[in-house]
Amino acid sequence: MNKIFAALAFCALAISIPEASLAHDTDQGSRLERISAAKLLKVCVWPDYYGISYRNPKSGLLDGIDIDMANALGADLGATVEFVDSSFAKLADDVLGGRCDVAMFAIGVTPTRQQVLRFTSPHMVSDIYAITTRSNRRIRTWADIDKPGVRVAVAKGTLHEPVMREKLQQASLVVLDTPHAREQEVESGRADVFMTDFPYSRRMLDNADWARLITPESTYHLTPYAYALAPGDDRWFDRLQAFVSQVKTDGRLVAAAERHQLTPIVQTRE
Amino acid sequence: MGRQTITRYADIGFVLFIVLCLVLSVLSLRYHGRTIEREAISTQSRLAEIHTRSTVEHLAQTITTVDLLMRSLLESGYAERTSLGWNNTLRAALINSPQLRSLSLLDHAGRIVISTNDDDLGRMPALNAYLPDVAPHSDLLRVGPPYRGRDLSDGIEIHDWSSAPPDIGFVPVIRSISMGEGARLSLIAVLNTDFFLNRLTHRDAVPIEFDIVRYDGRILFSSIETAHTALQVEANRKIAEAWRRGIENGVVQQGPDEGNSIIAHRVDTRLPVGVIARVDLDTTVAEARSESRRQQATLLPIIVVALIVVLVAYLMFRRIGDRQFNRQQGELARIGQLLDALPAAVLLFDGDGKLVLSNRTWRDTGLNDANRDPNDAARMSLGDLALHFEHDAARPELAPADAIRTVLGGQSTEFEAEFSAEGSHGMRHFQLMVRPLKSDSFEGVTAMLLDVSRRREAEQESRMLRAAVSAAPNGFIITDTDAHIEWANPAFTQLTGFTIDEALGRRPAELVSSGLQSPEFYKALWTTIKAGRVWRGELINRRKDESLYHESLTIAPVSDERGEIKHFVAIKDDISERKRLEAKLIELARTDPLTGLANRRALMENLTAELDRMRRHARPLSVLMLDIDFFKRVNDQHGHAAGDRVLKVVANLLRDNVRTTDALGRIGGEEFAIATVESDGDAALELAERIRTAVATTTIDSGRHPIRVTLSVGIAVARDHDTADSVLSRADTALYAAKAAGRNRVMRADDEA
Repeated sequence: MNKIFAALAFCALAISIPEASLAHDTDQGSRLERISAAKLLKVCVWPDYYGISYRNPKSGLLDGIDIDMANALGADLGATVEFVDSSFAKLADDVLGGRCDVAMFAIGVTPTRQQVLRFTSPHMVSDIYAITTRSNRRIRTWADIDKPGVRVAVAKGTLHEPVMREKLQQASLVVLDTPHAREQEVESGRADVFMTDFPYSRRMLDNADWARLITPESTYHLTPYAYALAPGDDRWFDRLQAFVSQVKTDGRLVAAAERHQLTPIVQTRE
Repeated sequence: MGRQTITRYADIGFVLFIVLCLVLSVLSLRYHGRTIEREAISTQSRLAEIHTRSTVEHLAQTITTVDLLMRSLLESGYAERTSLGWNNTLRAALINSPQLRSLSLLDHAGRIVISTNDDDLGRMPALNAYLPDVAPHSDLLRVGPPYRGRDLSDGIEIHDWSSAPPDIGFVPVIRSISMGEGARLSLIAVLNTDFFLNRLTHRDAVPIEFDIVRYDGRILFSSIETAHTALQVEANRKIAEAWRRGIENGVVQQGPDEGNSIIAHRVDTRLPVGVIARVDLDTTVAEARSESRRQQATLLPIIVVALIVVLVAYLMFRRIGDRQFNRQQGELARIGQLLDALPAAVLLFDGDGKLVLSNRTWRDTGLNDANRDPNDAARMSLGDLALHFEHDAARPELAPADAIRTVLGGQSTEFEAEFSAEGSHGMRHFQLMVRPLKSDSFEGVTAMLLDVSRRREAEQESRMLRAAVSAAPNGFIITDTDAHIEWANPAFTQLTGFTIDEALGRRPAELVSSGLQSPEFYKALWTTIKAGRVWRGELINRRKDESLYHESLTIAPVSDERGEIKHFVAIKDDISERKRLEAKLIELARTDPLTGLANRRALMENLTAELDRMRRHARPLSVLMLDIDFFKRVNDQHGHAAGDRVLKVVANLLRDNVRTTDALGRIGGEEFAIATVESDGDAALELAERIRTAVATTTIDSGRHPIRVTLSVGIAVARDHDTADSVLSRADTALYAAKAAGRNRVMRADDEA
C-alpha cells in the first residue's frame, strides 16, 4: 500500500513538478543530510490551527498535535525544531521555496496540492464541518447551507475552498484570506456559515460562545491529513514516511491525539 | 376493657396514625410544591430583571462604542480623507467588530458614497423613521427602524412584528457631522442584531424571551422566533408608553388574559432603546411543578415505604406481644387451675390494691360481692376485701385494711390474723395471710384465706371436753406411747397426791406403783393396749404419802387417722372403800357368827388350801375334830344362852391354843376342827390333849351356875391323796371312837395307831 502510494506520488511528481525545483534538490543533496549537519529542522506551521499548530496568543507558544509530532521528529533526527509561520495560502510557496523542510499542520491531501507537493501517509482524516452563530435562523441543518441568499465563507487556500466551490449550487461562496476573517464574517452576519474541519470546529465550540456546529448528516467530504514536503527528495521523504509509520505504531501519535482531543480523527492504519 | 378491644383500638389508632402521617406528608408536599412555585416565580422575576439590566447595559455600551467609532471616523476624516482612504478606514473598522455588519458614508444628499459593502453603494436609505426625531445635524446618534435582510442593499423595513420575524435582520444607526454651509456628512452603521441575539440565547430551564424595543415602542429585534401575539405587541406598547411617562424600568406580572407572563423592562438612560424580557408563567410554574413532582416522586415512595416499614414493625411487635400475652394467659390459666385446686382462697392484688387474680375457693366463699361478676375480678380492690372482716376494735393493730396496706407498702413482710366473716355458708372463720409478692414484672400482695371454722369448732369441742374432764371426779391422764404423762386432770392430783407439774413427763409406774401387782399383770396390760384394745382392771397403787389404795383403771389407746397409736388415756377410780366392804362381806360369809371362828365352808376352804400347801412343801398336816361332850344336856339344863356361852368359851380356848398359821373352825353345832400345819400325829395328839385338858379344867360361868364341859377329839394325819372331806372323815371316825370310848378323851384314827 505504502509502496503503491509512493510510486503513484512519484509518477505524479515526474509529470508535474517543475524542472527547477527538481534540479534545486539534486544540486543541494538530500535535506536529511543538511538537517543532520545543521542539527536544525525547519517546520512550516499555520499558527491559527487550533489543536494542530496553534499559537496561544496569551503565551506566544505553539501547541497542537503536529507541534508534538514535529518535536518528536526533531528529536528523532537529533535536530532543533524551528517553526516557520505559514498558512494554507502560502503553503506551496513556503515548502517549495525552501523556507521549511516540511510542512506539518494537518495538510489536507487534495489533488491540487498533490500536483505540487509530496505528502507522507495521512495521519488524520477529517470531514468538513460548518460553523454558524447560535442566533442564525437560516441555518438549522446541513441541508440549509446550500440555499439561495446563504453566504458560505471559506479561508483562501484551504482544502474547503475548492471543495465548496464545487459542491455549492445555490449559496454564494465568500473566500477570505485574512486571519480569523471567517469567524468575523459569520459573527457579524455578513456570512452565514464558514466551512472548516474537525480540529478547527472544536476550537470554535470551545472558545466562541456564539458558535454553533453544523455537522453533515452523512459523510460529506473526507480529507486525509498528512505532512507536505517538496517533491523529489526521496531520502527525506522516506525518512518522513518512516517517522509517520513509527509514531503510528509506537503510540506517540495516539497519545498526542488524545492530548489534543483529536482521537476521533486520528489515523493509525498505514 | 378486654385486651382484644384494646388491641383493636390500638390497631385502628395506628392505622389512623399512618393515614394521618400520609395525609400530612401529602399536604406538606403540596404546600412545599406551592412554595416552590412562588419561589420559582420570584426567582424568575429577579432573573428576568437582572438579564434585562445587563442586556440594556450591553446594548447601550455596544451602541455607544459604535457611536464613538463613527464620531471619531467622521471628525478625523471628513475633511481630507480620500475615497480610498475612507474605504480602507471603514473596512479596518469592521475588523474585530462583530456587532457591525457594514459601515457606509452618506454624502450631503443622503446617498451612500463609500461602503464596506459594495452592494450598498449609490443607495439612498430612508432616514425618516430614526429616533430621536431631531434635526439630522444635531450631535446625537439616531437609531433607525428594524430591517429584514443582511444589509441596506437588501433591507426591508419591518413594521409589523405580528407576522413571522426575519431570519436575518439589522438595525441601522446614523450619526452626522455638519460640514458647514448646511452640508453634512453621515455614517450609517448597520448593527448586526444577531450579535446581540447570540448573547440573549440562554439555555435556562425556563427560557426568557427578549424584545429589544425602541423608545417609541417599535420592536427592533427579538429573541422570539415566532410572530408576536397581539397581547405581546400591546404590552410592549404600554411599557414604552410608561417609559415615556418616566417609568423607565420595572417588573410586571401579567394575568392569563394579558399573556400570563412575568415582564421585566428597562429603557436605557441615554439611548432610545430598551429591553422587555418575558418569562412565561406557565412554563415557570410547570417547571416548579415538575420539580415538586420530582421531589414528590422521590419523597412519597420513601414516606410510603417508611410508613409500611413502621406498620410492618408495628404488626410484628404486636404479634410478638400477642404471642407473649397468650403465653402469659396460658400460664395464668395453669396457675389459675392450680390455684383453683387449693383449699385456701387465694387473691392476688397489684401494687394499687386492685385484684388481678382469684381462685375458685375464693369465689366459693361467697365473700365476693354478689352484685359483681365473679369472673370480672379486677373490679375488686383490697379495700373491698378488708370490708368483709369484722374489725376487732380492741385490737387496732389488726385492722385488716391498714395491715394489708402496710404489707403492700413494704413496711411489714407479712400479716396474719383470724377473722370471722359472713359468707354464703353463714358466719365462717377465716385465717387471713397476706404476704408481699415481688418479681421483675409484678409487685403486689397475695392474700390467702383459709376457712378455719371446723378447726375452731374442734377447738371449742376440745375446750369443752377438757373442762368436762378437768371437772370429772375420776383421775384422767394422757400419756404418750411410752406412758410418759402428757396431761392429767385435777382429780388425778386428788387421787394420787401428785400435782400435775410433778406428773408431767413421768410414767405412772414411777409415781404410783405399789409393787403389789405381779410383772405378769403389767405385761398383760401392755399387750392389751398395744394391740389397740381397751384394758380394764383393778390394782393397788401407792399414793405420794405412801398409802395404798385400790384403783379401777381403764386404759384406752388413742390412734391417729392412720390407726397408729399415739396416746393412751387412763381413767383412774379410787375403789378402796368398795374393796373394804367386799372384804367384809366375804369375811361374814366365812365366819361363825357366834364364836367368830371360821364356819364349816371357810374351814373346808382353808383345809383344802393347807392340803395343797402340805403337798407342795412336803410338810406334815394333821386334822383335829373336836366335839363338846353332852352339849345337849347343857342346853337342856341351863338353857340355850348357857349353851351359847359354853360354845364361845370353848372357841376362845381353842383360839388360844392354836398357832395363827393353823386353821380353826366351827363345823357343826358343838363340833370344831383344827388343821394344824407342820404337825405330825404326835404333835397333833399333844395339841389335842392340851386343849382337852384346858377345857376340862375350865369352869364356865353361865350366870346362875358354873358349868363344866369336856371335849372328845379325833385326830387324822393327812395323807398325800387326801381331800378335806376324806381327812375330816377319818378324823370324825377317830372322834366317834373317842366318844364311844367314854368321851373326854383323844383318839387317833385307826390306821395310824
